[in-house]
Amino acid sequence: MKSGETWYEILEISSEATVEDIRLAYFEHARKYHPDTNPGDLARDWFFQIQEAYETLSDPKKRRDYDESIRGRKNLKDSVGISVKYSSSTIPRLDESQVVYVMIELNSLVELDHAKIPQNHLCLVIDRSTSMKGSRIEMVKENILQFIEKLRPSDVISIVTFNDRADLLITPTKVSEIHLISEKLATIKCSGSTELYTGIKAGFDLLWGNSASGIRKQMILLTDGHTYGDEEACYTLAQKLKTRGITLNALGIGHEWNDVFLDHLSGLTGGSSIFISSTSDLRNYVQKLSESISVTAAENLSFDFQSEDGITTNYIYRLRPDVSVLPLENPVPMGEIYFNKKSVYLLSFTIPPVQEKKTSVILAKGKIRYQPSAHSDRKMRLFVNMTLAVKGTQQILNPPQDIIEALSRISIYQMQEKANLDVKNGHFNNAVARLGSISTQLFKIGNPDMALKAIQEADLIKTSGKYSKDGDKQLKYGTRALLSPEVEKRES
Amino acid sequence: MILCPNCHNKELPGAYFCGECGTQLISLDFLNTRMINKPVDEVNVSESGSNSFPTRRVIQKPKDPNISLHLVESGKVIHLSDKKDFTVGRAVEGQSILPDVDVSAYDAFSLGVSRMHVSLRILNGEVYVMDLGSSNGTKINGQKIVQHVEYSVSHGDLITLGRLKMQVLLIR
Repeated sequence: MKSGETWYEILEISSEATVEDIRLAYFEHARKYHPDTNPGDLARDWFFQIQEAYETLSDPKKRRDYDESIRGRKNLKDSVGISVKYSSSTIPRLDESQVVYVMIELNSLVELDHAKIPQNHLCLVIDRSTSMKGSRIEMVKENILQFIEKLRPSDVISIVTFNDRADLLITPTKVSEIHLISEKLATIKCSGSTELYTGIKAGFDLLWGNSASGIRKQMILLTDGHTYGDEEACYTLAQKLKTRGITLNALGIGHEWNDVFLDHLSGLTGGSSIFISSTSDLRNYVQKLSESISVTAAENLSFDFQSEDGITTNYIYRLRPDVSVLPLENPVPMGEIYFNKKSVYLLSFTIPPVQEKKTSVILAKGKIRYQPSAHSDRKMRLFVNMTLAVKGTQQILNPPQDIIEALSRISIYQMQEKANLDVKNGHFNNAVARLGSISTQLFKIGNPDMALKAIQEADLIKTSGKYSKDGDKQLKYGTRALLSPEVEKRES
Repeated sequence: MILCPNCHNKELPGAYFCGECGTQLISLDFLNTRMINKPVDEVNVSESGSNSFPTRRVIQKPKDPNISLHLVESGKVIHLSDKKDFTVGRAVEGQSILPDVDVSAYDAFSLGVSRMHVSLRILNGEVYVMDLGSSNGTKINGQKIVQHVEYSVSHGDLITLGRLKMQVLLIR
């Protein structure tokens, strides 16, 4: 059995599944993995497992015996809880398209158990191209020292530096056994260009080479530059990271790095990109990261779902714990869940005109997969069925307040993105008008500092056709941070 | 389709905010709206019928008034039209984002009016005022209002931006 999964897990059903559930799950999987359509040994093995699972579970006697044999493991079921809210409790029968918003909240159902905090392996991948020289690399060095102090003695750290080639600065070493770290950091010399692929690949080899199971693996990329020509290779590598359960968080320093690229790259692994404009940004991030390490309840979450024909997913935002625009891959990488804290996601769907005979609409149906951090060798599943009944011909607007609040902030963030696009395409008047709307909305939600920033940038665009040096990133990450209600509370 | 009352952009039904200008398209009572110019018990009566559920009202139905601002000191009247959402403040030279209603000609600087002082919004026949985080605050009929909260105003109410007084005139 692959990594000790139960027959239930292989068929992706709950241990309370009915005979009919089992039958349907079997057909679905058998179709998907049938050797005729999937050449290769792996698919064949997998297919045989599915057969065996079905043979065991479809026979009541065999199933009882089997249940008995896995009794101890069943306690592991459902360490994550889910609640789903909709912007509209039913779907009206309209002859035009309509939008529905869904908020998913996930929370840990188990308490933090200090004895079960998994070991962490953090690999820092540090850009040492010419532009990092001076205050940037010094800031990074200083924060690495502080970061290592905050880790537990049993955690493992490794450091790679790169420009157009990668160098191993620190091989994977337990924090308790690290010596002469500042001396080693002092040897970093900045020169050359930024080739992200070489850096990420070296980091990946270190993390993946450390094959002990039950270790949480994270890569933290620090860069200040553009990479050229290897973007696609980086995306492919990010997919690999994801399948190996490695999260990549990307920190962009200064104004020259490619935020769109790093956003997507980190998003593919369930991580996010972070804008570092000052030492205090980096310090805050280091603080948050070291806290998160010991409070992660579940990781490598992914949402594998299908919508009814004609329904499109417009976007999925993660509002908490870290704000991120999730890539619309299937499955969607969702990140992690902390103890005593909700992970919150907001989804937007467009539904085509509702036909006469329809009684319900399936927005999304599928499962969220995750690994409980206390048992990171296990894969768990949570079933999600977001189906709304069709009723009436008028919209009934009674959305939960938190959906509306999230939408008001998302609309500001999206206007900012459109303004960026306007500037790129040379539509400066549009950009200025949009920044005006942004500033008005920011004033309204009580964020005068950012509102004034938007006005300043509008002035610059009007006169020079450009944002200030890092103005676009300040607005992007500033308005993005507003999506997470917590961040705002901390600031005010 | 829903038509944004502010910029006339079209949105699909179900949308709550205009994708172009960020204006809220649907009125929901729980969203930060307060009444201050009515006796307290009257407010209670009017709200008790609707339970705790937000009332549902789709935009555009009741007749919207036209707003005019009567500047008390100078006697000037400014008519507002075309839009449903206005910002009022003091334009400064060289600034590209200007308030919809510029009161700099009325001694606004020395009277302590901020660049973006208040917003006025017409929704479902009502007019709402919100202080946008001004330095010297806003009063309605002499009573200071909380920033970033919308207050409903009626015909004849006196709004004071810093120390600049203006009377709201609603023509229906």
